[in-house]
Amino acid sequence: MSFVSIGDLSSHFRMRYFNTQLKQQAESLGAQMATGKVTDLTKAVGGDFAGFSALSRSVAMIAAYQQNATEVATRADVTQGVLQVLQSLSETASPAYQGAAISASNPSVSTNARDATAGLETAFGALNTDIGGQYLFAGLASDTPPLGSAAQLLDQLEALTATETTAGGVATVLESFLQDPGGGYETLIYQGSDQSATAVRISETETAALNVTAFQSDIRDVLQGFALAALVDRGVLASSLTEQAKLMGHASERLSRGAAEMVDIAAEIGGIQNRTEMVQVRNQAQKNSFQLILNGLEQADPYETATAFQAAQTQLEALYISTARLSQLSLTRYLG
Amino acid sequence: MTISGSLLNAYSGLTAAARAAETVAQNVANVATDGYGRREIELQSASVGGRGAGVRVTGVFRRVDMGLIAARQQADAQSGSASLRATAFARIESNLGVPGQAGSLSDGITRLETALASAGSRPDLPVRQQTVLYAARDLVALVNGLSDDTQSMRVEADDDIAESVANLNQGLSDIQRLNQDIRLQIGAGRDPNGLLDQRQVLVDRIAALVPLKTLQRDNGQIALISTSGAVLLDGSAAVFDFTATRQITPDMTLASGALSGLTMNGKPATIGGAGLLEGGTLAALFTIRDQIAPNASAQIDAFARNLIERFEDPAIDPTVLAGAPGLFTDAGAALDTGLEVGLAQRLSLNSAVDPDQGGLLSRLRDGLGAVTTGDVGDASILAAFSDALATGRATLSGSSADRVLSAAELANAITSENGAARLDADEKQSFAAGRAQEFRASELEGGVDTDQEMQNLLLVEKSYAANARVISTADQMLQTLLEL
Repeated sequence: MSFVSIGDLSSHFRMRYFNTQLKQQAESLGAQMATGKVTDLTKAVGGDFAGFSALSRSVAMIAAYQQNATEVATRADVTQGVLQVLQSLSETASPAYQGAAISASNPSVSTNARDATAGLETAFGALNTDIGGQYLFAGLASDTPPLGSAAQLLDQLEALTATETTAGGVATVLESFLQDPGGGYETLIYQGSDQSATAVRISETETAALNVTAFQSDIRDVLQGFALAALVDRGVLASSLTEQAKLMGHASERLSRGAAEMVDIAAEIGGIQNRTEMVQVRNQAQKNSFQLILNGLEQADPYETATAFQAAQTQLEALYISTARLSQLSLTRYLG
Repeated sequence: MTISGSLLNAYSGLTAAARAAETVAQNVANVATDGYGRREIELQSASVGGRGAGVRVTGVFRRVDMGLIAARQQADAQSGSASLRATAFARIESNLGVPGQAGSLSDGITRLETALASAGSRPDLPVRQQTVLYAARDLVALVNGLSDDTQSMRVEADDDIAESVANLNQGLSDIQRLNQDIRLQIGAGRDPNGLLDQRQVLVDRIAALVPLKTLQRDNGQIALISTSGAVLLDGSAAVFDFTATRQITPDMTLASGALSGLTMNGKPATIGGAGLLEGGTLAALFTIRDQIAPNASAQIDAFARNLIERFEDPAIDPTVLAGAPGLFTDAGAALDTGLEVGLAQRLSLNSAVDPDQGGLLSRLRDGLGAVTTGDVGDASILAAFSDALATGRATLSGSSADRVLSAAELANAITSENGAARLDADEKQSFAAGRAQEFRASELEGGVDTDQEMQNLLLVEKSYAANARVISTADQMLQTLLEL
């Protein structure tokens, strides 16, 4: 350092440098205030994004999982509704048909038989339920209605049982048609896939699968029960009222079994519904806490930023004042 | 005789005062000139035959602190080099993005993962498959773009090297010429200060490219030696040669001979490290072209390879034959581990799923090799795709090799590695810049101080007036004599 003179450019250069530094600082803080986010996130996390990246991804994935869970929940709800319909139909019909079987009176049998045709159509309609084009009971082939029409089934069965003379015979034919693997139901009536829908991911660790299709034997039991009774309406075994009454008895048995099975499936679906709801709650809690942590990392505390900005502003003003004052300190001004 | 003696003395005083005023004027005129060395006039009392003969101007000298200048030059070189490196890392970082930022590498993977998760819930909806398609396409474009930009960095660095070498050669030859001019000026007894100023500016420019030491030689000449010992100029200037490469691909390296190195006087000059020309912006440009950008490129290539490998697992898609490419391909073909260099530029989406390339969107669900549409509710392949991305998998290349990572974790590893490098480069840059600034300010302290010049001018005024008074008095005295 010279003690005789100090070059003019030296203080000019220093002031300029400080000016640039402070302005850069002020601008960066200003941007931080405007966006609410830290301007240099890399610096804020110290160059290690491991935690931040994992949390950020989780938040995005949970959003997708929540949507999936909502869709599963909706499907489950509608499925439950259908099962309810099948169950209540079966539960009402079974004792009525039993009554007809015991009384073996013409009006009772024919009324209940007509009722069964309607019941079968209702069951078919219920099983063909779709949500926005997605058929719930068709398994993997969710773009196709699982079943044709009730009339088609009855036509087939009527033709097959034309020669039967006993209720037992008719029952055997229906059993074979509806329950045999590769039998008539699978080839002619059921239009869906034999595989139930793929499991849907509703959280990082859990999936939910609604495994109900109209391919299942327990669903077929309900259809079988109504079909047995509806055939009477079609005039099968018309020669013998006794046989028709016996057939009503078979129908009642089958429907009572079907009703119980519907309760079981409903319980299963109910379990899935509960689990899905729990997962949704847990997902939301996780998402909230992750988001809080992320905010803590990437958002700039507005009070801190405002304070720092004000400090930079004050410093800049002080620099301006000192620059102005120093530039006035020149001998040249005082020489006449 | 004494009276005429005093006339002569006073006259010499006037001349000295005039020279001093000229010096003051020169200094004040150049108060803001870069590279200007403050002129100082040196006076000595003259004596002839033991008697005082007035004042003699020994010379006008250029006052500079060579030590400070040398320190400042080296600090500038370091600062320039650190700044280039920090910029390179910052550029790579802005391309990679940060997690959570739209368009970042991490975000690209997350988008694909969320799209697959949603498609898995409704595999019958084409709109969800389309979201998967867009996410996959964007990821591919992002990876392609990352690799393209690292090669652009290399081309730009290569270009800058060519320009710097041209400047270096020109500067050295100019300094050589100025050396001769200065020698001639000094030999003829004239003032070489203006030429010294010019030469100082040229040396400053070269010192930023290659940090150097200035050695004084006879008659005002200088020699320039790089800090690691290469002779840049000693009498005659060294000649550097470099050929720019117009287009650079990832496989082109210095070692492979596809890229030009630097030659000095016909022999190869090693750059950086313990080489002949370490430090400075020239070495930094070589580092960017040969180390920083290729490293980043290799990281992206490793990522592309990992992505392709994940989807080539035969367990994922039963419709894909063994050895056939999966969802992501190497320009349509399956992965060849021997062709990893530049893979990121060739990464593509399998045309079988891309309607724009003649494929079918539904193949995302039914399988890449599917000929007919399968069950619309079958999300098993989509679920397998999701798992492929989320499962930890041994990384087989790049700096994360042998770590078991999911796709998102690998993207994060690359981002973090570059982020840490950038922070480090930033710190080095701010340290170097601060140091350079300090040295420059100290150097400028020895520059022209107008207050001092004004004070000198006051003195000169007084001296001039006094000498003029002496002359007029001596003249009167002579007149008196003559009037006798």
